[in-house]
Amino acid sequence: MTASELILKKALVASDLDSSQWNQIQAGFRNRAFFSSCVAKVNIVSAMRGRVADYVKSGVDISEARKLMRRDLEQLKYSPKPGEEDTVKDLFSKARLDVILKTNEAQARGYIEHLGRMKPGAFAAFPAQEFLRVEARKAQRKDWPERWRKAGGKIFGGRMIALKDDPVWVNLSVFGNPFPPFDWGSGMGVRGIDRDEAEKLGLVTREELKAKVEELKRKPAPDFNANLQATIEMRHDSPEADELRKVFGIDKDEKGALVSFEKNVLHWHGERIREVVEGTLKKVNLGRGYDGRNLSLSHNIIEEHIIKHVGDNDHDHRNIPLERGDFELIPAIWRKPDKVARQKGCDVLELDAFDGILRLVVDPNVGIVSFYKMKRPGGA
Amino acid sequence: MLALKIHVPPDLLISDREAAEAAESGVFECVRAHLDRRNETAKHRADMPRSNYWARRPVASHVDGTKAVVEVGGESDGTALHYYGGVVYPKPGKKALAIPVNPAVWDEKPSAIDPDRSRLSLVWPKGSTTGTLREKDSGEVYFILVDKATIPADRTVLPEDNEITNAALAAIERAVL
Repeated sequence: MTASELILKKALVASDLDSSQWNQIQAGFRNRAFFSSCVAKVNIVSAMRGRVADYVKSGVDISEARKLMRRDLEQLKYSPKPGEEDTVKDLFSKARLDVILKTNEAQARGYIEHLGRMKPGAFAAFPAQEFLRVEARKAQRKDWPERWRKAGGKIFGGRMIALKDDPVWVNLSVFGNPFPPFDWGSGMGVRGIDRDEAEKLGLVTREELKAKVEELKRKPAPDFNANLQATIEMRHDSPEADELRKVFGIDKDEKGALVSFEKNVLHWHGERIREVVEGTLKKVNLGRGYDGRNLSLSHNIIEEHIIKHVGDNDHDHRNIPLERGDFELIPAIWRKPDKVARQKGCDVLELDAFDGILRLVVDPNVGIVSFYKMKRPGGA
Repeated sequence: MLALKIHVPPDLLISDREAAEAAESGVFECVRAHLDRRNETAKHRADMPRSNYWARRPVASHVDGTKAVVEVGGESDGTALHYYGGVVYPKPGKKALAIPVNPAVWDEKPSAIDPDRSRLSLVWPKGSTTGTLREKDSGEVYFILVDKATIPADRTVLPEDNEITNAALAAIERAVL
Protein backbone atom coordinates (compact mmCIF):
# COMPACT_ATOMS: atom_id res chain seq x y z
CA MET A 1 0.00 0.00 0.00
CA THR A 2 1.38 3.44 -0.86
CA ALA A 3 1.87 6.08 1.79
CA SER A 4 -0.98 8.19 0.43
CA GLU A 5 -3.23 5.15 0.67
CA LEU A 6 -2.16 4.62 4.27
CA ILE A 7 -3.18 8.14 5.19
CA LEU A 8 -6.32 7.77 3.10
CA LYS A 9 -7.14 4.55 4.92
CA LYS A 10 -6.96 6.35 8.25
CA ALA A 11 -9.35 8.97 6.92
CA LEU A 12 -11.68 6.34 5.48
CA VAL A 13 -11.75 4.41 8.75
CA ALA A 14 -13.27 7.53 10.26
CA SER A 15 -15.97 7.48 7.58
CA ASP A 16 -18.76 5.00 7.09
CA LEU A 17 -17.79 3.66 3.69
CA ASP A 18 -17.80 -0.10 3.28
CA SER A 19 -14.69 -2.02 2.27
CA SER A 20 -15.80 -2.29 -1.35
CA GLN A 21 -16.01 1.48 -1.60
CA TRP A 22 -12.63 1.79 0.13
CA ASN A 23 -11.05 -0.38 -2.53
CA GLN A 24 -12.75 1.57 -5.29
CA ILE A 25 -11.14 4.69 -3.91
CA GLN A 26 -7.76 2.99 -3.71
CA ALA A 27 -8.18 1.90 -7.33
CA GLY A 28 -9.10 5.44 -8.24
CA PHE A 29 -5.97 6.86 -6.68
CA ARG A 30 -3.69 4.25 -8.24
CA ASN A 31 -5.25 4.64 -11.66
CA ARG A 32 -5.04 8.40 -11.47
CA ALA A 33 -1.44 8.30 -10.27
CA PHE A 34 -0.45 5.85 -12.99
CA PHE A 35 -2.30 7.80 -15.67
CA SER A 36 -0.59 11.04 -14.64
CA SER A 37 2.74 9.35 -14.38
CA CYS A 38 2.61 7.92 -17.89
CA VAL A 39 1.59 11.24 -19.33
CA ALA A 40 4.25 13.07 -17.42
CA LYS A 41 6.93 10.51 -18.18
CA VAL A 42 7.04 12.43 -21.40
CA ASN A 43 6.96 15.66 -19.44
CA ILE A 44 8.90 14.39 -16.36
CA VAL A 45 6.60 15.90 -13.74
CA SER A 46 4.86 12.78 -12.48
CA ALA A 47 8.08 10.81 -11.99
CA MET A 48 7.76 12.44 -8.59
CA ARG A 49 4.58 10.51 -7.73
CA GLY A 50 6.25 8.41 -5.08
CA ARG A 51 7.58 11.45 -3.30
CA VAL A 52 4.14 13.04 -3.32
CA ALA A 53 2.86 9.91 -1.62
CA ASP A 54 5.70 10.11 0.90
CA TYR A 55 4.68 13.64 1.77
CA VAL A 56 1.04 12.73 2.39
CA LYS A 57 2.27 9.96 4.70
CA SER A 58 2.61 11.02 8.31
CA GLY A 59 6.19 11.49 9.41
CA VAL A 60 7.64 12.86 6.18
CA ASP A 61 7.39 16.63 6.26
CA ILE A 62 7.25 18.88 3.26
CA SER A 63 10.87 19.91 3.58
CA GLU A 64 12.06 16.30 3.34
CA ALA A 65 9.67 15.55 0.47
CA ARG A 66 11.10 18.48 -1.52
CA LYS A 67 14.64 17.26 -0.91
CA LEU A 68 13.79 13.76 -2.15
CA MET A 69 11.95 15.06 -5.21
CA ARG A 70 14.89 17.24 -6.19
CA ARG A 71 17.14 14.21 -5.88
CA ASP A 72 14.81 12.21 -8.15
CA LEU A 73 14.82 14.99 -10.72
CA GLU A 74 18.61 15.06 -10.74
CA GLN A 75 18.70 11.33 -11.31
CA LEU A 76 16.26 11.73 -14.19
CA LYS A 77 18.67 14.32 -15.61
CA TYR A 78 15.96 16.96 -15.56
CA SER A 79 17.02 20.54 -16.15
CA PRO A 80 14.77 23.58 -16.49
CA LYS A 81 14.53 25.37 -19.80
CA PRO A 82 16.85 28.37 -20.14
CA GLY A 83 15.23 31.41 -18.64
CA GLU A 84 12.82 29.36 -16.49
CA GLU A 85 15.26 28.63 -13.65
CA ASP A 86 13.80 29.37 -10.21
CA THR A 87 10.40 30.18 -11.69
CA VAL A 88 7.29 28.10 -11.02
CA LYS A 89 8.00 26.33 -14.34
CA ASP A 90 11.25 25.04 -12.88
CA LEU A 91 10.47 21.66 -11.26
CA PHE A 92 13.37 22.17 -8.86
CA SER A 93 11.81 25.34 -7.49
CA LYS A 94 10.18 25.33 -4.07
CA ALA A 95 7.11 27.02 -5.54
CA ARG A 96 6.54 24.26 -8.10
CA LEU A 97 7.23 21.37 -5.75
CA ASP A 98 4.95 22.85 -3.09
CA VAL A 99 2.11 23.23 -5.56
CA ILE A 100 2.40 19.57 -6.54
CA LEU A 101 2.71 18.27 -2.98
CA LYS A 102 0.01 20.42 -1.44
CA THR A 103 -2.41 19.93 -4.30
CA ASN A 104 -2.23 16.16 -4.01
CA GLU A 105 -2.82 16.33 -0.28
CA ALA A 106 -5.72 18.75 -0.79
CA GLN A 107 -7.27 16.45 -3.42
CA ALA A 108 -7.30 13.50 -1.05
CA ARG A 109 -8.86 15.64 1.66
CA GLY A 110 -11.32 17.25 -0.76
CA TYR A 111 -12.53 13.89 -2.00
CA ILE A 112 -13.18 12.50 1.48
CA GLU A 113 -15.11 15.63 2.47
CA HIS A 114 -17.06 15.47 -0.79
CA LEU A 115 -18.20 11.95 -0.02
CA GLY A 116 -19.45 13.15 3.36
CA ARG A 117 -21.26 16.12 1.84
CA MET A 118 -23.04 13.91 -0.69
CA LYS A 119 -24.61 11.57 1.85
CA PRO A 120 -28.41 11.71 1.54
CA GLY A 121 -28.99 13.24 4.99
CA ALA A 122 -26.18 15.75 4.50
CA PHE A 123 -27.56 16.69 1.09
CA ALA A 124 -31.06 17.15 2.51
CA ALA A 125 -29.79 19.55 5.19
CA PHE A 126 -27.20 21.30 2.98
CA PRO A 127 -28.17 20.83 -0.68
CA ALA A 128 -25.92 23.61 -1.97
CA GLN A 129 -22.46 24.97 -1.34
CA GLU A 130 -20.70 28.28 -1.75
CA PHE A 131 -17.44 28.61 -3.65
CA LEU A 132 -15.20 30.97 -1.67
CA ARG A 133 -11.69 31.69 -0.49
CA VAL A 134 -10.71 29.52 2.47
CA GLU A 135 -6.94 30.08 2.47
CA ALA A 136 -5.10 33.38 2.33
CA ARG A 137 -2.85 34.04 -0.61
CA LYS A 138 -0.45 36.93 -1.23
CA ALA A 139 -1.48 37.08 -4.89
CA GLN A 140 -5.10 36.10 -5.36
CA ARG A 141 -6.62 35.20 -8.71
CA LYS A 142 -9.25 37.78 -9.59
CA ASP A 143 -10.92 35.88 -12.40
CA TRP A 144 -12.87 33.36 -10.35
CA PRO A 145 -16.27 35.03 -10.89
CA GLU A 146 -15.66 35.02 -14.65
CA ARG A 147 -14.56 31.37 -14.58
CA TRP A 148 -17.59 30.56 -12.44
CA ARG A 149 -19.97 32.08 -14.99
CA LYS A 150 -18.20 30.34 -17.87
CA ALA A 151 -18.61 27.05 -16.02
CA GLY A 152 -22.35 27.66 -15.92
CA GLY A 153 -22.62 29.06 -12.41
CA LYS A 154 -24.86 31.86 -11.12
CA ILE A 155 -23.79 34.64 -8.77
CA PHE A 156 -26.09 35.71 -5.92
CA GLY A 157 -25.20 39.12 -4.50
CA GLY A 158 -21.52 38.54 -5.20
CA ARG A 159 -21.62 34.98 -3.87
CA MET A 160 -20.91 31.95 -6.05
CA ILE A 161 -23.41 29.31 -4.96
CA ALA A 162 -24.72 26.17 -6.63
CA LEU A 163 -26.31 22.88 -5.74
CA LYS A 164 -23.78 20.25 -4.78
CA ASP A 165 -24.65 18.10 -7.80
CA ASP A 166 -24.54 20.97 -10.28
CA PRO A 167 -22.14 20.34 -13.21
CA VAL A 168 -20.56 23.75 -12.53
CA TRP A 169 -18.19 22.12 -10.02
CA VAL A 170 -16.70 19.74 -12.58
CA ASN A 171 -16.66 22.43 -15.27
CA LEU A 172 -14.88 24.83 -12.92
CA SER A 173 -12.15 22.39 -11.96
CA VAL A 174 -8.95 22.12 -14.00
CA PHE A 175 -8.70 18.58 -12.61
CA GLY A 176 -12.23 17.64 -13.65
CA ASN A 177 -13.26 16.98 -10.03
CA PRO A 178 -16.49 18.12 -8.34
CA PHE A 179 -14.52 18.92 -5.17
CA PRO A 180 -11.68 21.23 -4.17
CA PRO A 181 -9.03 22.11 -5.03
CA PHE A 182 -10.30 23.50 -8.30
CA ASP A 183 -6.97 24.76 -9.52
CA TRP A 184 -3.30 24.47 -8.58
CA GLY A 185 -2.69 26.26 -5.26
CA SER A 186 -5.87 28.31 -5.59
CA GLY A 187 -6.85 28.55 -1.88
CA MET A 188 -10.51 28.33 -2.88
CA GLY A 189 -12.89 25.86 -1.26
CA VAL A 190 -16.52 25.15 -0.57
CA ARG A 191 -18.80 25.60 2.44
CA GLY A 192 -22.32 24.21 2.88
CA ILE A 193 -25.45 26.26 2.21
CA ASP A 194 -28.47 25.02 4.14
CA ARG A 195 -31.81 24.06 2.70
CA ASP A 196 -33.60 27.22 3.81
CA GLU A 197 -31.14 29.45 2.02
CA ALA A 198 -30.99 27.20 -1.07
CA GLU A 199 -34.78 27.38 -1.38
CA LYS A 200 -34.79 31.16 -0.85
CA LEU A 201 -32.24 31.56 -3.65
CA GLY A 202 -34.45 29.50 -5.94
CA LEU A 203 -31.85 26.79 -6.42
CA VAL A 204 -34.16 23.96 -5.46
CA THR A 205 -37.76 23.29 -4.41
CA ARG A 206 -38.78 20.91 -1.64
CA GLU A 207 -40.04 18.35 -4.17
CA GLU A 208 -36.87 18.52 -6.28
CA LEU A 209 -34.77 18.07 -3.16
CA LYS A 210 -36.77 15.02 -2.10
CA ALA A 211 -36.17 13.44 -5.53
CA LYS A 212 -32.45 14.18 -5.39
CA VAL A 213 -32.12 12.68 -1.91
CA GLU A 214 -33.93 9.53 -3.08
CA GLU A 215 -31.52 9.25 -6.02
CA LEU A 216 -28.51 9.62 -3.72
CA LYS A 217 -29.75 6.72 -1.64
CA ARG A 218 -29.65 4.55 -4.78
CA LYS A 219 -26.38 5.76 -6.37
CA PRO A 220 -22.95 4.29 -5.54
CA ALA A 221 -20.05 6.52 -4.45
CA PRO A 222 -18.97 8.90 -7.21
CA ASP A 223 -16.12 7.68 -9.39
CA PHE A 224 -12.99 9.59 -8.44
CA ASN A 225 -11.71 9.36 -12.02
CA ALA A 226 -14.92 9.83 -13.96
CA ASN A 227 -13.46 12.75 -15.88
CA LEU A 228 -9.82 11.75 -15.84
CA GLN A 229 -8.11 12.86 -18.98
CA ALA A 230 -5.01 14.72 -20.02
CA THR A 231 -4.08 16.95 -22.86
CA ILE A 232 -0.88 15.69 -24.34
CA GLU A 233 1.20 17.99 -26.38
CA MET A 234 2.52 15.55 -28.89
CA ARG A 235 1.80 14.48 -32.39
CA HIS A 236 -0.02 11.23 -33.03
CA ASP A 237 2.93 9.94 -35.03
CA SER A 238 5.63 10.97 -32.55
CA PRO A 239 7.82 8.43 -30.69
CA GLU A 240 6.35 9.67 -27.40
CA ALA A 241 2.81 8.96 -28.60
CA ASP A 242 3.92 5.46 -29.64
CA GLU A 243 5.41 4.91 -26.20
CA LEU A 244 2.16 5.98 -24.53
CA ARG A 245 0.19 3.61 -26.74
CA LYS A 246 2.44 0.70 -25.79
CA VAL A 247 2.26 1.46 -22.09
CA PHE A 248 -1.50 1.62 -22.10
CA GLY A 249 -1.87 -1.27 -24.52
CA ILE A 250 -3.65 0.74 -27.18
CA ASP A 251 -1.22 0.05 -29.97
CA LYS A 252 -3.37 -2.80 -31.18
CA ASP A 253 -6.96 -2.19 -30.20
CA GLU A 254 -7.99 1.17 -28.80
CA LYS A 255 -11.61 0.11 -28.34
CA GLY A 256 -10.59 -2.64 -25.94
CA ALA A 257 -8.17 -0.58 -23.85
CA LEU A 258 -8.47 1.40 -20.66
CA VAL A 259 -7.29 4.51 -22.45
CA SER A 260 -8.24 6.20 -25.70
CA PHE A 261 -6.18 8.76 -27.50
CA GLU A 262 -8.25 11.30 -29.46
CA LYS A 263 -6.54 14.21 -31.17
CA ASN A 264 -4.19 15.24 -28.38
CA VAL A 265 -6.36 14.22 -25.46
CA LEU A 266 -5.80 11.01 -23.56
CA HIS A 267 -8.96 9.72 -21.86
CA TRP A 268 -9.13 7.21 -19.01
CA HIS A 269 -11.91 4.61 -19.30
CA GLY A 270 -11.91 3.03 -15.86
CA GLU A 271 -15.57 2.08 -16.31
CA ARG A 272 -14.48 -0.64 -18.80
CA ILE A 273 -13.29 -2.85 -15.94
CA ARG A 274 -16.72 -2.68 -14.39
CA GLU A 275 -18.31 -3.40 -17.77
CA VAL A 276 -16.19 -6.53 -18.23
CA VAL A 277 -17.10 -7.74 -14.74
CA GLU A 278 -20.80 -7.17 -15.46
CA GLY A 279 -20.55 -8.72 -18.94
CA THR A 280 -21.56 -5.69 -21.01
CA LEU A 281 -18.02 -5.65 -22.43
CA LYS A 282 -16.29 -8.88 -23.49
CA LYS A 283 -12.69 -7.94 -22.87
CA VAL A 284 -10.43 -5.07 -21.88
CA ASN A 285 -6.71 -4.71 -22.46
CA LEU A 286 -5.00 -3.84 -19.19
CA GLY A 287 -1.88 -2.62 -20.97
CA ARG A 288 1.72 -3.23 -20.10
CA GLY A 289 2.31 -4.78 -16.70
CA TYR A 290 5.11 -4.95 -14.17
CA ASP A 291 7.17 -7.22 -16.43
CA GLY A 292 6.48 -5.39 -19.67
CA ARG A 293 3.92 -7.88 -20.99
CA ASN A 294 0.39 -6.97 -22.05
CA LEU A 295 -2.57 -8.62 -20.36
CA SER A 296 -6.28 -8.81 -21.06
CA LEU A 297 -9.18 -9.26 -18.70
CA SER A 298 -12.15 -11.02 -20.25
CA HIS A 299 -15.64 -11.65 -18.96
CA ASN A 300 -15.13 -15.40 -19.59
CA ILE A 301 -12.18 -15.47 -17.20
CA ILE A 302 -14.25 -13.69 -14.59
CA GLU A 303 -17.07 -16.17 -14.96
CA GLU A 304 -14.84 -19.23 -14.94
CA HIS A 305 -12.33 -18.43 -12.24
CA ILE A 306 -13.09 -15.36 -10.30
CA ILE A 307 -16.80 -15.56 -9.56
CA LYS A 308 -16.17 -18.41 -7.11
CA HIS A 309 -14.55 -15.90 -4.75
CA VAL A 310 -17.45 -13.46 -4.71
CA GLY A 311 -19.80 -13.30 -1.70
CA ASP A 312 -20.97 -16.62 -0.29
CA ASN A 313 -19.26 -18.56 -3.07
CA ASP A 314 -15.90 -18.34 -1.33
CA HIS A 315 -15.64 -21.14 1.25
CA ASP A 316 -11.95 -20.78 2.01
CA HIS A 317 -11.66 -19.52 5.61
CA ARG A 318 -8.39 -17.77 4.75
CA ASN A 319 -10.15 -15.55 2.23
CA ILE A 320 -12.36 -12.52 2.37
CA PRO A 321 -15.22 -12.55 -0.16
CA LEU A 322 -14.57 -10.35 -3.17
CA GLU A 323 -16.66 -7.24 -3.70
CA ARG A 324 -17.32 -4.91 -6.59
CA GLY A 325 -14.60 -2.41 -5.73
CA ASP A 326 -11.95 -5.14 -5.65
CA PHE A 327 -12.10 -5.78 -9.41
CA GLU A 328 -11.20 -2.17 -10.09
CA LEU A 329 -7.81 -2.79 -8.50
CA ILE A 330 -6.86 -5.43 -11.11
CA PRO A 331 -5.07 -2.96 -13.45
CA ALA A 332 -3.12 -1.55 -10.50
CA ILE A 333 -2.05 -5.04 -9.39
CA TRP A 334 -0.97 -5.90 -12.92
CA ARG A 335 1.04 -2.70 -13.38
CA LYS A 336 2.68 -2.43 -9.98
CA PRO A 337 2.12 -5.30 -7.58
CA ASP A 338 3.39 -4.95 -4.02
CA LYS A 339 4.83 -8.48 -4.24
CA VAL A 340 5.46 -11.07 -6.96
CA ALA A 341 6.02 -14.79 -6.41
CA ARG A 342 6.15 -17.87 -8.66
CA GLN A 343 3.92 -20.82 -7.91
CA LYS A 344 3.37 -23.83 -10.19
CA GLY A 345 4.48 -21.95 -13.27
CA CYS A 346 2.26 -18.95 -12.58
CA ASP A 347 3.03 -15.45 -11.36
CA VAL A 348 1.23 -14.61 -8.13
CA LEU A 349 0.87 -10.85 -7.81
CA GLU A 350 -0.19 -9.31 -4.51
CA LEU A 351 -1.51 -5.89 -3.59
CA ASP A 352 -2.21 -4.65 -0.10
CA ALA A 353 -5.79 -3.34 -0.26
CA PHE A 354 -7.54 -1.56 2.57
CA ASP A 355 -9.21 -4.65 3.96
CA GLY A 356 -7.01 -7.54 2.89
CA ILE A 357 -4.44 -8.77 0.38
CA LEU A 358 -5.59 -9.09 -3.20
CA ARG A 359 -3.99 -11.82 -5.28
CA LEU A 360 -3.93 -11.99 -9.05
CA VAL A 361 -2.65 -15.28 -10.46
CA VAL A 362 -1.37 -15.07 -14.05
CA ASP A 363 -0.30 -17.95 -16.26
CA PRO A 364 2.17 -16.56 -18.84
CA ASN A 365 0.61 -18.75 -21.53
CA VAL A 366 -3.05 -18.39 -20.68
CA GLY A 367 -3.46 -15.08 -18.85
CA ILE A 368 -5.41 -14.48 -15.64
CA VAL A 369 -6.37 -17.73 -13.94
CA SER A 370 -7.50 -16.51 -10.53
CA PHE A 371 -8.26 -13.43 -8.47
CA TYR A 372 -9.12 -13.49 -4.78
CA LYS A 373 -8.66 -11.63 -1.51
CA MET A 374 -6.89 -13.04 1.54
CA LYS A 375 -7.01 -12.07 5.16
CA ARG A 376 -3.83 -10.52 6.43
CA PRO A 377 -1.59 -12.89 8.42
CA GLY A 378 -2.07 -12.34 12.15
CA GLY A 379 -5.38 -10.61 11.45
CA ALA A 380 -3.70 -7.22 10.82
CA MET B 1 -1.26 12.70 19.00
CA LEU B 2 -4.95 11.88 18.64
CA ALA B 3 -7.70 13.48 16.61
CA LEU B 4 -10.22 15.60 18.48
CA LYS B 5 -13.55 13.76 18.44
CA ILE B 6 -16.88 15.52 18.73
CA HIS B 7 -19.73 13.15 19.58
CA VAL B 8 -23.08 14.49 18.46
CA PRO B 9 -25.34 14.28 21.56
CA PRO B 10 -27.15 10.94 21.16
CA ASP B 11 -30.49 12.28 22.31
CA LEU B 12 -30.52 14.49 19.24
CA LEU B 13 -30.32 11.54 16.91
CA ILE B 14 -33.43 9.80 15.73
CA SER B 15 -33.04 6.25 14.52
CA ASP B 16 -33.48 7.52 10.98
CA ARG B 17 -30.09 7.36 9.22
CA GLU B 18 -30.66 10.50 7.20
CA ALA B 19 -31.29 12.46 10.36
CA ALA B 20 -27.99 11.17 11.76
CA GLU B 21 -26.22 12.18 8.54
CA ALA B 22 -27.85 15.60 8.72
CA ALA B 23 -26.66 16.09 12.31
CA GLU B 24 -23.18 14.94 11.27
CA SER B 25 -23.14 17.42 8.39
CA GLY B 26 -24.43 20.24 10.60
CA VAL B 27 -21.59 19.75 13.04
CA PHE B 28 -19.10 19.31 10.19
CA GLU B 29 -20.09 22.62 8.57
CA CYS B 30 -20.08 24.34 11.99
CA VAL B 31 -16.54 23.12 12.71
CA ARG B 32 -15.30 23.98 9.22
CA ALA B 33 -16.69 27.52 9.43
CA HIS B 34 -15.17 27.91 12.92
CA LEU B 35 -11.74 26.82 11.65
CA ASP B 36 -12.05 29.19 8.67
CA ARG B 37 -12.71 32.16 11.00
CA ARG B 38 -9.81 31.08 13.19
CA ASN B 39 -7.58 30.91 10.12
CA GLU B 40 -8.60 34.40 9.02
CA THR B 41 -7.83 35.98 12.38
CA ALA B 42 -4.72 33.93 13.22
CA LYS B 43 -1.70 36.09 14.05
CA HIS B 44 1.12 35.97 11.55
CA ARG B 45 4.23 37.92 10.69
CA ALA B 46 3.82 40.20 7.70
CA ASP B 47 7.17 39.15 6.26
CA MET B 48 6.43 35.42 6.45
CA PRO B 49 4.08 33.45 4.18
CA ARG B 50 0.71 32.46 5.66
CA SER B 51 0.57 28.85 6.78
CA ASN B 52 -3.24 28.67 6.59
CA TYR B 53 -2.81 26.15 9.39
CA TRP B 54 -6.40 26.21 10.64
CA ALA B 55 -7.97 26.10 7.18
CA ARG B 56 -5.94 22.98 6.41
CA ARG B 57 -6.94 20.93 9.47
CA PRO B 58 -8.50 17.68 8.24
CA VAL B 59 -12.09 17.23 9.36
CA ALA B 60 -13.61 13.79 8.87
CA SER B 61 -17.01 12.55 9.95
CA HIS B 62 -18.99 9.36 10.04
CA VAL B 63 -22.24 7.85 11.22
CA ASP B 64 -22.23 4.51 12.97
CA GLY B 65 -25.65 3.29 13.97
CA THR B 66 -26.84 5.75 16.60
CA LYS B 67 -23.55 7.58 16.83
CA ALA B 68 -22.27 10.43 14.68
CA VAL B 69 -18.68 11.56 15.13
CA VAL B 70 -16.77 14.46 13.66
CA GLU B 71 -12.99 14.16 13.94
CA VAL B 72 -10.74 17.19 13.77
CA GLY B 73 -7.13 16.54 12.96
CA GLY B 74 -5.49 13.14 12.60
CA GLU B 75 -2.83 11.04 14.17
CA SER B 76 0.08 13.27 13.29
CA ASP B 77 -1.84 16.54 13.36
CA GLY B 78 -1.26 19.22 16.01
CA THR B 79 -4.93 20.15 16.55
CA ALA B 80 -5.27 18.15 19.76
CA LEU B 81 -1.98 19.63 21.02
CA HIS B 82 -3.38 23.15 20.64
CA TYR B 83 -6.68 22.16 22.27
CA TYR B 84 -5.24 20.39 25.33
CA GLY B 85 -1.89 22.14 25.47
CA GLY B 86 1.42 20.36 25.88
CA VAL B 87 5.15 20.47 25.46
CA VAL B 88 6.92 19.65 22.21
CA TYR B 89 10.38 18.12 22.48
CA PRO B 90 12.92 17.42 19.72
CA LYS B 91 12.71 14.02 18.03
CA PRO B 92 15.07 11.31 19.33
CA GLY B 93 18.60 12.02 18.18
CA LYS B 94 17.96 15.73 17.75
CA LYS B 95 19.12 18.31 20.31
CA ALA B 96 16.75 21.16 19.53
CA LEU B 97 13.62 22.27 17.74
CA ALA B 98 14.41 24.49 14.76
CA ILE B 99 11.87 27.25 14.16
CA PRO B 100 12.17 29.02 10.79
CA VAL B 101 12.13 32.80 11.27
CA ASN B 102 13.25 33.92 7.82
CA PRO B 103 11.04 33.85 4.68
CA ALA B 104 13.96 32.29 2.80
CA VAL B 105 13.57 29.06 4.78
CA TRP B 106 9.82 29.01 5.25
CA ASP B 107 8.54 25.43 5.64
CA GLU B 108 12.09 24.07 5.52
CA LYS B 109 14.21 22.02 7.89
CA PRO B 110 17.91 22.73 8.40
CA SER B 111 18.89 19.23 7.24
CA ALA B 112 16.93 19.66 3.98
CA ILE B 113 18.47 22.96 2.99
CA ASP B 114 21.93 22.29 4.38
CA PRO B 115 22.56 18.52 4.14
CA ASP B 116 26.35 18.84 4.19
CA ARG B 117 26.32 21.61 6.85
CA SER B 118 28.19 24.02 4.67
CA ARG B 119 25.58 26.74 4.45
CA LEU B 120 24.49 27.41 8.05
CA SER B 121 26.44 28.15 11.19
CA LEU B 122 25.29 27.39 14.72
CA VAL B 123 25.39 30.06 17.41
CA TRP B 124 24.42 28.90 20.90
CA PRO B 125 25.64 31.08 23.78
CA LYS B 126 26.77 29.10 26.82
CA GLY B 127 24.05 28.80 29.44
CA SER B 128 21.34 29.99 27.06
CA THR B 129 18.18 27.99 26.37
CA THR B 130 18.05 29.23 22.79
CA GLY B 131 20.42 29.26 19.86
CA THR B 132 20.32 30.29 16.22
CA LEU B 133 21.28 28.90 12.85
CA ARG B 134 22.59 31.63 10.58
CA GLU B 135 23.38 31.79 6.90
CA LYS B 136 27.14 31.80 6.75
CA ASP B 137 27.54 34.37 3.97
CA SER B 138 25.03 36.97 5.12
CA GLY B 139 24.85 36.22 8.85
CA GLU B 140 21.05 36.35 8.65
CA VAL B 141 19.23 34.34 11.28
CA TYR B 142 17.37 31.52 9.55
CA PHE B 143 16.27 29.35 12.47
CA ILE B 144 15.80 29.83 16.18
CA LEU B 145 16.74 26.75 18.19
CA VAL B 146 14.96 25.86 21.41
CA ASP B 147 15.17 22.78 23.61
CA LYS B 148 11.38 22.58 23.86
CA ALA B 149 8.21 24.52 23.04
CA THR B 150 5.27 24.86 25.43
CA ILE B 151 1.85 25.15 23.80
CA PRO B 152 -0.86 26.51 26.13
CA ALA B 153 -4.29 24.84 26.17
CA ASP B 154 -6.80 26.66 23.98
CA ARG B 155 -10.39 25.46 24.09
CA THR B 156 -11.39 27.94 21.41
CA VAL B 157 -9.86 25.57 18.86
CA LEU B 158 -13.32 24.03 18.62
CA PRO B 159 -16.73 25.74 18.64
CA GLU B 160 -18.53 25.90 21.99
CA ASP B 161 -20.71 22.97 22.96
CA ASN B 162 -23.99 24.86 22.57
CA GLU B 163 -22.93 26.02 19.10
CA ILE B 164 -22.29 22.41 18.10
CA THR B 165 -25.61 21.24 19.55
CA ASN B 166 -27.52 24.03 17.80
CA ALA B 167 -25.83 23.23 14.50
CA ALA B 168 -26.81 19.57 14.76
CA LEU B 169 -30.43 20.40 15.74
CA ALA B 170 -30.83 22.92 12.94
CA ALA B 171 -29.49 20.46 10.37
CA ILE B 172 -31.87 17.70 11.52
CA GLU B 173 -34.82 20.10 11.22
CA ARG B 174 -33.78 21.06 7.70
CA ALA B 175 -33.33 17.48 6.62
CA VAL B 176 -36.96 16.70 7.38
CA LEU B 177 -38.46 17.17 3.94
